This record gives sequence, structure tokens and C-alpha cells, in this order.
Amino acid sequence: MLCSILFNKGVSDPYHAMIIVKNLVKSFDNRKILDNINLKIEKGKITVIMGGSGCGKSTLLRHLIGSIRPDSGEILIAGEDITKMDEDSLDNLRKRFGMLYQSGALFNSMSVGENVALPLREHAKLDNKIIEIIVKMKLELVGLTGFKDLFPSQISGGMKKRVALARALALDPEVVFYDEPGAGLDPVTRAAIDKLIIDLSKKLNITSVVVTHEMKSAFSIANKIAMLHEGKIIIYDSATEIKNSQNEVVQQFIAGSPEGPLTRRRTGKEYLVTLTGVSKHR
Amino acid sequence: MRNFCGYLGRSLNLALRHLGSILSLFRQALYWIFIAPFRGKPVNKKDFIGQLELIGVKSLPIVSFVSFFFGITLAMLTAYQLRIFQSEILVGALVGVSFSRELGPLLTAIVVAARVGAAMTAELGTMKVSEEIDALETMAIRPVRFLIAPRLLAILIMLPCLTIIANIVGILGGYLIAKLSLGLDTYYYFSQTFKAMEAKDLFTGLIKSFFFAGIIGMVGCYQGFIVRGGAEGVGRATTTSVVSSIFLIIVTDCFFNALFYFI
Repeated sequence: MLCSILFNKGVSDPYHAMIIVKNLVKSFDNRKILDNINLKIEKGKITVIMGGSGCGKSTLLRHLIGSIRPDSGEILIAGEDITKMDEDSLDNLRKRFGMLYQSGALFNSMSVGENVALPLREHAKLDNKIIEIIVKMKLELVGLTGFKDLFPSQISGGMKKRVALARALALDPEVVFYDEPGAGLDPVTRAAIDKLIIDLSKKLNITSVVVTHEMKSAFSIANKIAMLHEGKIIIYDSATEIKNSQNEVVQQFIAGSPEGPLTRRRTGKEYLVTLTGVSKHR
Repeated sequence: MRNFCGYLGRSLNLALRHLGSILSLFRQALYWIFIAPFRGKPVNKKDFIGQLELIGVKSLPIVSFVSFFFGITLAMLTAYQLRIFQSEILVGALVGVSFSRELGPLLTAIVVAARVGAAMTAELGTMKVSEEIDALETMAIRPVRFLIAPRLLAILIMLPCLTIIANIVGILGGYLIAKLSLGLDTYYYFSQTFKAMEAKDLFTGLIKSFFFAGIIGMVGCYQGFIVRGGAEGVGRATTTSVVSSIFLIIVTDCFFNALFYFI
């Protein structure tokens, strides 16, 4: 019984969680973007953070990678609080995770091979021949063997994302963050990227955090889905539970309906407040 | 009047904040150029060599042309005035001193600011917009070390070199007029030039060009790093970069001239 409680993968105990977010708050220009976020991301699993545009999911991701410091709260990655780290310690931790940006963020002045080799050249003191072998291995992992001499401008959008993923995997990370991995891709390429995320997570036991608003992708890859709405996590559960949720916001988002709480029209009073800026009217 | 004062105050506040950020970035860049290499973190060599080529070799033709034609213009202008006193003989001295003290460093800096400073802002701004700078940070590679340090180091080396070449070419431009229009003897022109020029003239010019290099490099990189808003933002930042660089170069030049005049 005790073992089943301790090792039940559904339970997000601190020993099983790779990332723990506690009471995270962030405001920009007095507007709360993240409002008391609590989240436990399990080790070796794929967690999808979804929500509509402007709900704060990219801001949350930027907090997780240490690009933005929160107003208050903690972010523990592998047990270390990144919100209190200095830049050197943060750099040491960053070597343990990879990040796939929405645009791929490949360096256009470098070839595909040089892009993948960059983290290795910077952080691993390895011989050039060994780096070349690792680059070939990583490119093979994402299905791009033989493309190392091409430049980013010579390859397609889907291939760019694969190269960016190979670069993110260069240092054998424990966690990989994905920012809208399927954005701007055709359905087939998007499905191929989704399959790659699942394969990598299974084969390499990588903890994956995927930020997306594409429902199909989210349901096909996620072990768990967190939905953000107005800076708060309104649901955090498995894909099946999310589908069966009775929450109106979740249901509207899944159905992609134009009518519902996400697109609620303002009342007459609220409209007056917007126009005049005065909160009390007779 | 109140509105004007408010506008002035806000502009000054903004300018001082930018200046503070540039100085902070400059301090970091100096650390990555002069201290970090001794701690096993060298400047990005490939980028550094590329920048040496871009700033030095590729700017050489335009800097030479501008200096040459300015040398001609200056010789003609001074000859026109000196003719009144029948002292055209002094054209070489005037061109030499003007170029080594003032025109060589200033012209070179303005040409390089327009050419290289703009390129730096556009390149780094595009990298910022396409998340490449963010990607560097997530790969635990400091953007200041990887992008700013090689550019700053390259311009600090190359601008004084270009200034020396601009001085030589400018004096040659003056010689062309002295020889063809005024009929001065080659030996006489150059002996007059070098007699009038002191080591101090050349030295002050080079000190100025060193500071101008810092201004162009830092303003160019800083404007690229703070780009917001896609392609339009890159365009805006590039214009701001060139205008602010040239403005700061002229102000610094004025400051140094006053300093050298009084000491």
C-alpha cells in the first residue's frame, strides 16, 4: 500500500517531480500575467501547457528557462530554485536542459552541422572528430542524416525545427522545453514532429514541457495537460480527463467554439467602465 | 512651456537610462575581452576574424575614397585662402595637420558608423527578433561574450588602423592638387607636411579614433540588443543607431578638441 502510494506515477510527489512551480506571480505594467501558478512536472513525462493567445503560457515557459525572474514564488528544477540563482549557477543548470524555439532560432550564418555542434564546442571539451560524430548521431536521431553542410536558408521549416531539436539534444539534456513546436507547419510535418517528441521522450527518458495551443498535438503527445486561463492554471490532468472535463472554458477551447466564457461579451456596466475608466456609476 | 519642460525632462531621463545600459553592457564586454580569455573563456574567434574583415578590409575602399576626395577639397579650399597671402606653400602643412588631428579620425568614424554600426544593429536586431539571442542564453552561452565582445574588439583594432590609412590618403589627395594645380614640388610638399605635423597630432587623432570605435561598437550592438517589434523595429533601431553614433562622435570630438586645446 505504502509502495503504491509512493510510486504511483499519478501522484506528483516532490521526489518524482522534475520541475515544481510554487505560487508563481508575475505582473507587467500592473497587469498580472501569471497569478499564483502551482505546477509539478513529472520526470520522463510529456507535459503540455496550453491556453489561448495572451493567457501567459509563453511567459510561464520563459520563467521555467530562467529568462524572466518572477515577482514572487519559486521554480525548482531538479530540486534547485532557479529564481534565486545567480547567472553562473543558472548557466550550469541550463546545460542540463534544451529548448526548441517556435522559429527554430537557428544561426543563419552557421551550417546545420555547426548549429548542432555549437553547444558542444562551447561546453564540452571534446576533440573535433568526436564532436563531428556526435553531430551526426544527433542529426540521425531527428532523421536528418546527410544535411549537416546545408545552411538554414536552404532547408524547409519542418527541417529547421528538427535541426533545432538536434541542437537542443546536443548536450543530452534531462529536460527539453518546446515553444509551439508545430506552429507554421503543415499537418503531416506537425504530426512527424509530435511523433519525434514522443519517441525522444520514451527512448531517452527526457522530461518534455510543450507549450502549444494546438489541441490535436496536445492530445496526441501529452501525458498531462495544464490549461492556463487569465494567468491561472484552471485544470491540470491527463488528456482523457481534460477531454471529459465539465469546465466551460476547457470545453470551449477544445471545441474551438467562438461563443463561450473565453470570448464572453462585456455587460453594459463593464463597457461603461472600459470607456470612462470610472468603476462606480449611478 | 510646462509641456516643453516635461518633454525635455522625459527625454533626458530616457537618454540617461540608455546611457546607463550602454555603460553596463560596455563593462561586461570589457570583462569578456580582457579578463575572461585568461580564465579559459576566449572571444568567439570565427566571429572576431569575420568582423575584422568586415570593419577593416571591406570598409577600406569607401574610407579611402572619402578621405582622398576630402583631401582634394581641403587643399583647394586652403589654397584659395592662402593665395591672398601668397602662401600656397603651406597647403601641405594645413592638409596634414587637419587630417591627422581632426578629419582623419572624424571622417573615418562617420563612414564606419554609417556602414558598420548600422550593419551591427541590423544583424543583432534580426537575431533578437528571430530568438537567436534568446537561444544563446538557453544554451548557457552569454550573448555579450559571443556577439558583442568580438565586434567591439574588432572595431577597437580596426578603426585606428583605418584612421591612419585615411590620414595618408587624405594627404595624397592634397598632394594631387598641390602638384597639378599649384605646381608645388613633391619633395617640398611632403617635407612641409611632415615638418608641420607633430607626433602629438597623430597621437591625439588616434586616441579620438579609439573612443569613436567604442561609441560605434557599443551603440550599434546595444541598439541591436534592444530591438522590439519585428522588421519595423530593426529598421527603426538601425536608424537610431547611426544617428546616435554620429551625434555622440561629434560631441566626443568637440570634448577632446577642447581638452587638447587647453592642456
